Amino acid sequence: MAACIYLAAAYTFPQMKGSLSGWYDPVVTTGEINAAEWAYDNLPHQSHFAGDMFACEMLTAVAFQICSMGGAWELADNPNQRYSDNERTYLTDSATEAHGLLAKYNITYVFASSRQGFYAYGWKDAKNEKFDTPALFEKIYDADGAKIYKVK
Amino acid sequence: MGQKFNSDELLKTAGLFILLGLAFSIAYWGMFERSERFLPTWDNAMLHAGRAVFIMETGHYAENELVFGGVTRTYHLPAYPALVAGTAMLTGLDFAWTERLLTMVLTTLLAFAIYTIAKAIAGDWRAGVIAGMLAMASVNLMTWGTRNSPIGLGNVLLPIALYLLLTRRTLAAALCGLVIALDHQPTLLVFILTAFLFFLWEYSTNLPKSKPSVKGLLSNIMHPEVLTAALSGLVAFLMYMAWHVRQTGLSCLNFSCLPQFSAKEFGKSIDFVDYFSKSPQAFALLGIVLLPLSRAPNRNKALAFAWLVACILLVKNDLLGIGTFTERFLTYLDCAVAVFGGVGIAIALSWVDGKKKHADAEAA
Repeated sequence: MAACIYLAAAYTFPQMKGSLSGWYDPVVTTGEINAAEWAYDNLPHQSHFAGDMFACEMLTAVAFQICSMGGAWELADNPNQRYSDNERTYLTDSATEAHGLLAKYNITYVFASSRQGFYAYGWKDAKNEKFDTPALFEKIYDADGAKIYKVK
Repeated sequence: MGQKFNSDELLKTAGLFILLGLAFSIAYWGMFERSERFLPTWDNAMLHAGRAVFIMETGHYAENELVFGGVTRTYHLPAYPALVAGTAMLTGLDFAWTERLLTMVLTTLLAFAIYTIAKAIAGDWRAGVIAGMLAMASVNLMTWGTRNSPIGLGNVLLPIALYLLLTRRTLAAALCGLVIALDHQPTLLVFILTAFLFFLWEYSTNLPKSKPSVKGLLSNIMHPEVLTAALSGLVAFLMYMAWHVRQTGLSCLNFSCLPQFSAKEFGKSIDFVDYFSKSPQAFALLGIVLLPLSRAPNRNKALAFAWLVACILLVKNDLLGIGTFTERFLTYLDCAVAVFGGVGIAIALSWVDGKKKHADAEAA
């Protein structure tokens, strides 16, 4: 019994902490969750958002919305094109190109975060400045590093 | 008139509490310390939460995916989201607190389920405690089995269902199979294949031999010796097929339309020499060698090996030309292997202390 207690406390628990730490990571920030809660209260439910993989899946639960991206890529229609377009939307410098890609998928809202995102292929920094183009996007939420834009 | 001090019973209770405490601590650390500000989001956990929220908001299951524009029909199963939604509605908690609560309950139940099946197979509580400890140290099992997603529920239901098979609780085993069928396809595959292999063993060893005939075959399937395995496996299979046909019609009866199959997700070939050379999996070799030599009933041995063989076949499905989810099935192999580890160590201990506890195996 002493061996069991020792094993549990000195071996199993610390080992599991190390092994599972990454898997328990929420990834999304508190600011993003606050933004999603604002979206739940203020935007039509089941609207179509764009975001990175983790924000997207969080938005389906916290904000009760539909999103452009998810982890299980094989569930998507034409997944490679969809993934590629989603990443391009966030990585391009061109507001016009991003607007065109969002229109292609009938996306109404853009969810933008200051953290690195997983938009399709690996962790990358988005070029979110382009969304501050009033002719194409209207900023409707901005707090704690999370922004929501309405696509015009 | 003092009660006789039963040190064995005290140790058994203490061992179980240490095991359950360990499982609860791991889940608590994950849900409250590591992911303090929210919830784990990996493994599409939020997508399953999204399905639960969909049920809570609309009263219906989301027929389409909630991501990728919401245009593709979902092949995800409804049991876990329904469990989250139902628990949230009953408790008044929001979905996030419900997910935390359920994860801690399911992780603790996972340890208890492994304790129960290992104890039943070996007839020794020490097998249960050690198997549970080994399971809690198994990375594949705990990675996929301790988080807020359907596989977490499936990992708990599987050893419970196998325990019910072993103890011939037919109705409960069938109900458990039914819930597995509506929860998670890979868990269902492990359960059905294990039940089928166990059924074959029971059929070939327990039933009176007669001239082969369809009538004889049907009556044999309903024979009390094989009924539990036959019925629970069939109920699980037919329940899933009913759902599958509902979602895909009659055009996909070979399952090729399922995206996980067509896309061959997680298809890496697993090296068993590497797998079994690591801790805690290496302890299973003791059980694989000692269980056949032990005095445990043959039925117990048959179920344990049916479970192990089913998991090995599914992990090595690349050798059958399928190559889908091979790594994901390690979750289930980890569980079976932990049970073999616990059983093996308990048999060795009983030989050392001369108690031969495994002779009293619970399901004899």
